[in-house]
Amino acid sequence: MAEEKSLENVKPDETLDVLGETCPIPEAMAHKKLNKMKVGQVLEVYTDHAAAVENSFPSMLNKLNYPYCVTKTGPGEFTIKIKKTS
Amino acid sequence: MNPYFLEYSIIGIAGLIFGAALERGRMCFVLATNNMFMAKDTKILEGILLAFGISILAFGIIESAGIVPIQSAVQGVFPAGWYDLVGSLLFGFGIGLCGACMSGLIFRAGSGFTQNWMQLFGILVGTIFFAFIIFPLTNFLYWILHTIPWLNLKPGFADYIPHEWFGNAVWGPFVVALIFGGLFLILGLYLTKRRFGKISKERGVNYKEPIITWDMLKFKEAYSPRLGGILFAVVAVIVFLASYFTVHKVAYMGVTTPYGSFDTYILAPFINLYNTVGHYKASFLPKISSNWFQIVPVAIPMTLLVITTFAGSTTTAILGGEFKWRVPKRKIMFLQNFIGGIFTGVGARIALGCNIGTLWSGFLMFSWAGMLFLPTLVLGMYLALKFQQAIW
Amino acid sequence: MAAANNIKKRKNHNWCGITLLALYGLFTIYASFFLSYLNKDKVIGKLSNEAIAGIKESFILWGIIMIIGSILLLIREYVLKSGQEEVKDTESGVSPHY
Repeated sequence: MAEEKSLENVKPDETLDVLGETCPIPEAMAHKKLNKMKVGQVLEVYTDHAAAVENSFPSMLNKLNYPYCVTKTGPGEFTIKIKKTS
Repeated sequence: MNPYFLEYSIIGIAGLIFGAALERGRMCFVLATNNMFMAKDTKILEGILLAFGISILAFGIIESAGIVPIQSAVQGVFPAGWYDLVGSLLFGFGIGLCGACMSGLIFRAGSGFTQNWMQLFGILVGTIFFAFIIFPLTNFLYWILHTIPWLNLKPGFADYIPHEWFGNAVWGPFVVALIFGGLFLILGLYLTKRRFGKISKERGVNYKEPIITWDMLKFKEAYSPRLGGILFAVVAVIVFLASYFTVHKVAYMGVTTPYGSFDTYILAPFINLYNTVGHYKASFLPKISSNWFQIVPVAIPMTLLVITTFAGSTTTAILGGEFKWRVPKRKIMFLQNFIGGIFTGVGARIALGCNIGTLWSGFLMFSWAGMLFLPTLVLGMYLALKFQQAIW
Repeated sequence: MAAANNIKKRKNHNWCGITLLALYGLFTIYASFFLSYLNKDKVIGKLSNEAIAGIKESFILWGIIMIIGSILLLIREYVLKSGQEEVKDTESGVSPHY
């Protein structure tokens, strides 16, 4: 599943703040949190690990087949919104 | 002109390129393996494989063509042994805990990750711990004595694969490079092709990623890992040739031993490193090994390379608008990174180098060190990943 | 929204990086003073006097280069203001790959 712009303005149900942490923590914690969430809920992740946004998250979410949306919110800072679909 | 001045100055430039390639290309071994284990994504791994493949082939050609004679090239060859296996397991677990390998650490610390500065501090402490306690107590020098290069006790062919296989044949290094380098290169190219094929099928278009674009050169966009890999190879060749043509003593890439010299500069005002601490004399050895700082030179070309690598990655992070002082929310991460750093430091010292100095340069030296380092490194990183997935 | 609040709080940290770069330069110059002192008592791995002189000069040269680099970045940051524009760049970014 590729990126979906429509997620940009959706209110998140859960948030995860992993600012300042490097791999594999952002992906691993997001994965764990997604597992606990209900289908249809949206998770918002704050991270400043550029490599995670460029590589780890897209590849993980493509494998899980969840739609997501990345917003650049500052220098090296990103917000990722992920919708759990299954 | 003083040849040493020339050597160090050129290698400083190589360090800037290395830092840029690291920071822009996100060349981190932990990132590559984590992506592979967690999501079967090989994007960064392709860059690393390309770096290995191209540089090994280039070194084989340089040595076989006689640009750097084999006699000179072997002087820098590190010995390989059981300590590579043990050290790389500790090292792999350490870098897995910190989420940054020795090269990843430099660019992360350089772009403002405070937890990686903590890891750096852990490495410095781990190196001191190794130097004053593990090194003298285990009589570590004995195990490596016969071949450690800067001791010049047996400058030789002991661990040089082309010599082992083909004797003194001039084409030896090229054939060995073709085998190892070719393997890495083909694997890297194959993985790229497979990834593109997969995405093309998903999207229904012919998908391709450019290796280099204008936006990358203007620091607007991160480098493709493959460009990072090519720059890696260029840096290794610059270092190799610059050191040979200036002081006729070859230097291979390495980033861990310099941390030892950073330790000595920091400790020097406070204690006498050579006499007072951890004196120890083995009965069957000449009186040499009281601590590790006695055998490590005060500066190797890589000392400057590491500093300029830091400078290069900080500069590109600022130019790319990515520099930020990043403090993790959970303060326990500092502790995890400190402990991971100690593991990293001790492991790297036991293996005589890190993922750059022993793994990559091991292949570049055509010794077995790289081959021995790889399996337990991956095992260590895998264990650390599972450990973190379990506790966080 | 949480993301919108986050944008307001965000600061430009480039001065940190510039300080860091200057510190690398200072450390290199600092280290150059210990080369001959540490080499003096060495038994194994001792460098020749010529080597120490050359390495020291090179360390100082690179230290000065790094400090000049940090001054240039400072000019870029506060005189040309080009670094601060990037900070304001909050457009919706797309992960460039995949």
